[in-house]
Amino acid sequence: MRRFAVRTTLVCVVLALFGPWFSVSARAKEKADKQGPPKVQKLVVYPPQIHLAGARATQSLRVVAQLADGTQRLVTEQCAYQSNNPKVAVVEGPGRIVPQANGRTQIVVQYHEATVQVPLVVSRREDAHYNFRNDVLPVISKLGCNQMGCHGSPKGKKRLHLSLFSADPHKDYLEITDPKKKLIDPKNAEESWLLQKALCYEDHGGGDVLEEDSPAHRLLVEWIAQGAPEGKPGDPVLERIEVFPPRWELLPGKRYPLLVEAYYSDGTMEEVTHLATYKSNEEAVAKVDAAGRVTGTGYGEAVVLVGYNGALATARVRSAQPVKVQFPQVPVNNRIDELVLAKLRELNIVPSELCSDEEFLRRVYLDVIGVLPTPEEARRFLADPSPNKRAALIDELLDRPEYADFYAVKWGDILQINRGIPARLQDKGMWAYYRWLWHALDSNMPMDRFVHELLTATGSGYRNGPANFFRVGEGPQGMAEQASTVFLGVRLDCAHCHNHPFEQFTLADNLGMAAFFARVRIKRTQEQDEEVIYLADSGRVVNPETKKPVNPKFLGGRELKPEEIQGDPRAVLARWITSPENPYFARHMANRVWTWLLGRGIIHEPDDFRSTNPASNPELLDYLAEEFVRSGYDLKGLFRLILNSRTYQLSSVPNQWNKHDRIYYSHYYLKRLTAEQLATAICQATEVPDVYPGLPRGTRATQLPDVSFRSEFLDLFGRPKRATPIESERSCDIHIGQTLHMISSEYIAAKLRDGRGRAARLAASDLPPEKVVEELYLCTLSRYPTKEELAVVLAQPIDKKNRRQVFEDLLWVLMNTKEFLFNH
Amino acid sequence: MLRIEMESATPGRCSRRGFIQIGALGTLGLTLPDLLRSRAQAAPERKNAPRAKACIVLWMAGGPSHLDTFDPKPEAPADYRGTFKPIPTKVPGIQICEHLPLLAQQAHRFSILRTLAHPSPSHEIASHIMLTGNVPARGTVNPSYGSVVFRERGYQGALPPYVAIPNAHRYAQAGFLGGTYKPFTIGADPNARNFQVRSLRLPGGLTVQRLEQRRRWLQALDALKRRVENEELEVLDGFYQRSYEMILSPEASKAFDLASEDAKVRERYGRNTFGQSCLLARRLIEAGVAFVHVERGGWDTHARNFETLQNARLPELDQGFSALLEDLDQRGLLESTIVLWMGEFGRTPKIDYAPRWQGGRHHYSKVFSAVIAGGGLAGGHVVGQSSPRGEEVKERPVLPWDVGATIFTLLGIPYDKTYKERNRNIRLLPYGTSVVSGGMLTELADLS
Repeated sequence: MRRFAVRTTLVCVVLALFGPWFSVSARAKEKADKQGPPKVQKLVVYPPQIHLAGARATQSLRVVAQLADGTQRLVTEQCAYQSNNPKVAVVEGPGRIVPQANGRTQIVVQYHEATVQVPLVVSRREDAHYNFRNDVLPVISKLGCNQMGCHGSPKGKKRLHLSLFSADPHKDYLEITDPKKKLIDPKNAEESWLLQKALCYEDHGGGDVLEEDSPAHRLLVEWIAQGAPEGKPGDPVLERIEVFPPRWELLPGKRYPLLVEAYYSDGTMEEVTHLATYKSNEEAVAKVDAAGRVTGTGYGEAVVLVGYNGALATARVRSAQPVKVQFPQVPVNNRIDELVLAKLRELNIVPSELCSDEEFLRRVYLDVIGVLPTPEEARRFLADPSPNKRAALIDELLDRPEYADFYAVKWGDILQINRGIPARLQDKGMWAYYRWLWHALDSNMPMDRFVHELLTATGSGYRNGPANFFRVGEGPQGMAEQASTVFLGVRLDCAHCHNHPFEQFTLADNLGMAAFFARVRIKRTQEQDEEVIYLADSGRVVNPETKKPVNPKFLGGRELKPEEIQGDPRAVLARWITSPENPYFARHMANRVWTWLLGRGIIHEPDDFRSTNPASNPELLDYLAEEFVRSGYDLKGLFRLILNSRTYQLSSVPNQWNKHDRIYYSHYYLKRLTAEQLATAICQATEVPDVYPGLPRGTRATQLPDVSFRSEFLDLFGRPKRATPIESERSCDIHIGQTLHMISSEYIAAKLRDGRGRAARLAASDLPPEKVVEELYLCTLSRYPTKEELAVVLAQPIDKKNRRQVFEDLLWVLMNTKEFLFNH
Repeated sequence: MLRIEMESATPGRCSRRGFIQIGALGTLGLTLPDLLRSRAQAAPERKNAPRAKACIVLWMAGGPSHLDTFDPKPEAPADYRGTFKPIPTKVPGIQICEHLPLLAQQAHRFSILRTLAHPSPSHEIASHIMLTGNVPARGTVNPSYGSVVFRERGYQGALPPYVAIPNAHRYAQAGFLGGTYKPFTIGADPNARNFQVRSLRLPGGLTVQRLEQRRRWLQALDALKRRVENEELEVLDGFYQRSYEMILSPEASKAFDLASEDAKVRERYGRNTFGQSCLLARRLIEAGVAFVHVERGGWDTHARNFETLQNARLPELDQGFSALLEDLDQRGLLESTIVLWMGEFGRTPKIDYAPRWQGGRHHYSKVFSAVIAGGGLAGGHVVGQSSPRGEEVKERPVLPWDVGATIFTLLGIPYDKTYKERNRNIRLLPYGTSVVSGGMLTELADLS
């Protein structure tokens, strides 16, 4: 039902990327008003040409003046309009065209000295017939009748049962015109039950949704009076909608009206501004009302989503900080920096400085291998005079086995590896899955192969690790949802039951993806809880509404005929996912890695790709994805590319222009260490390891194969239960339970006072106090103490007797600094 | 989370009243007169002098069966009424389940709400609705009642204003109010022999003097915060300060010290997790905590409903809840403390005897019961009436936000207050808008 939606969105995204920005700055406007008539360079009229058809068509225009000073103004109200042939069409009010007869003419638009002629065609003036889908259904949708809580609910409401968000227009038509229901009365149209209810003349649970004598009311009356036709066979079909202006620059407090045009298969068009539905993705930047008027509310970028009769379009809004700064010359390390800087320049956000070697060292250790550098490693790196030492360290870390440890935790979250509830993989399944994952990461298995191995796995979950993928999702739909989230970053489970407005993915998409898994079967064996995954010879997914079998269909893509599938349908899906043309896979992988390293996704969250959740820097995301594809899906290569950028290596200390930025990467965003990173760092700092049952002493929290190992600490600091593949299930929130734990838990106290621990060892050594302090700073904060810090510490008299206690206290203090608790 | 977004992704444009309201209207079978009445009550004048000081929520996670607790239906067919029989209570005319005999003796202290209803029979959404008084909107998690009270009251001493025993449900959290207003969770079983609240005492080897020294040093050496202006860092600092105060103040450790309670009192509450949680709740209220969330799961009785209730849930509920009411009242605290017993929904009136369930009841939100007491509300009443089989609201619906508005009004917090989240103003409760409503619990108190 929404087959136009995706295409339209793509068209608009492309337009949005390359179209010019139309800016109207309040200051420029004032200036222009004071200085007499503005110098107009070009006048742009939307829509640029018009073809209206039918008896009821009217059209309004929007006029933008591009001024000599580079700014632009919306001047619809200030223009003079004239029709070259008033017999064909006249202009009533500012830019409102009312057709009179069939024919061709031009509308002349004048603003000061500038004029533009808009070609206009009027046809089928005599044609007053209604088409249910084109004319009536949009009105019903705008009134909200087919929403979840109303007549669109699964059982409908009272006498009327509509398909949710007009998913099935033909069914809705049959429902409304069903003679048994007596909802409409063509002989006495105004008295129709449908209208009486909507006007609330009869008790209506939904209230008075319809206003007496409103255009919507008159339309419904006329349609019913015509005999409530569904339409004629040759009636045009809606092809797409367009929204004008596609981009606009807006200041907080300012408002501008959108214009929405529906384009039909016969080349005609219709203004549907009043019937479209609107939503802003970022209300902190721009709000939009039901009439399509956008109001600026803050600085940044927003996307207004426009829906009409199943088609979607977007309009981008930008509001740059008004501060005039001399944008500094900023060096770049690679293409990433160029793209980030381009965005920052547009928005007047000045990036922070490059971070220090000390900051880089600690940051890159935590981000790549999840552990702190040892004091020796820190000393070595800081003393290294080589100008390429950052790049060299990145290479070195990516080759270390701890990289696989740390990222097996992240992937373990996503794949939901757990022996217990809810995945119930059992010990053997969990270990098999974890070991496969660990080796895949350690050997840098190309990600296309990674996808193939998971998606086409068969056999025992106890013997073949990736086969456990199919033990996590339940049934074909569950497997499809799991695969969509894990590999495409798309949450398909919302479309498990029904469609949603403003969401491009429908129940049909969900079922189409599920059909790839229709032949997957799970069988228990005689071994305790062992499950074997195999492919049955047949099997299909049936649409619960139509009861018809569903063909496999690529997400947002085309449907496959049964004969197109030879062999394992999952392999067909895996090939599609990992083909360079796939619109999601590479972008999604690039975005995940970016999120892990930079703390915030270009698309946020990394597993929530949808047309209504735009990228903060689409060009950057496209570039990363292209590089990822070009590299042959080299995951470590993607890490290397990002880690070597100056953007990754920016300081976390903000400046006055970028301190509010949280999405454009003007500085490095603080990240609280994850539960496992923090536990590991505390063990490293104190030299007292955690002990996990069944694992050798010294096993780090970042090396745990699943989340079943009891640890109050890890739970307190946000370890997920792995109940969903969604990354945000892992929490890096802070709460008072954590600070209490850090201050006074036996867990921390025992590590500090342990006789084999670092504090005891250093106290027993004959190192002078200042050397011990240096050691403690290096093992916690990966840097030398400053002179001031050294002075603060050494102000405390340190002797043989209190040495150990002072060092324990200092170690505690350092472990509780924000510099320790955060990756900065 | 996802399911929530799914259900709430339908913005209300069905009318000015919005969709959930209408959804509820449809499911509840409310008539237009109900609706009009609710509109009439939508804009009351009220004074904001607080009458109650504190609130305890007894959260029965999973959803307790209304028919098998506070809304017995002895006249219903056997496959509805089940095996339990009703018993009379201290209040003539009010009957509750036979397995709640101690509560029956306290019936004059509480009132039963028999017509709670909301549109969602799924745990996630229903819990959000009941704990926050709001149907979740996409991308927004509302603050729980406790977090709102936390925010409005602030700290009144070393103890956190909002405490959860032993843990807090994910929607008993601060939502968009942010981490500062999360409940302090005990994280340990108050019935455990060596029960100790997470890190409230100094660990071995640490003296107050040393702690103070560490604190001074940390203040002097914490460099990052001075360089980076960041809200999260501020909040973290706040948590450190609060933590020191809690650890160092005798008031906090005293409040949590269940061992100092008379053994008889501990017995009266029941030597089980729920009972001792209720006792701890009383101690905390006494010590000035404004909001306590007591959580007890195990009510999701899809299978073997009657065995589970009779052997486990009901006896401990009976003992702990009745002791709490009696004890609060005897100490003169009930008048100023609201006690609200509820789960996210009720359970299907028709019993599922399929072999898989062996006499189970499933999720049901069209009508169910809650119990409210104290805080100036009259006891000994029944509000609302469900249909003979406990399937629908027959008379006087009570919507979750009606309960929320009642609680906030008693606590002196305007229910129509709005909070600014980023650039949006979010209302505390939908109550008083065009949302469907049965009105506040004016049967139990003068709320004008």
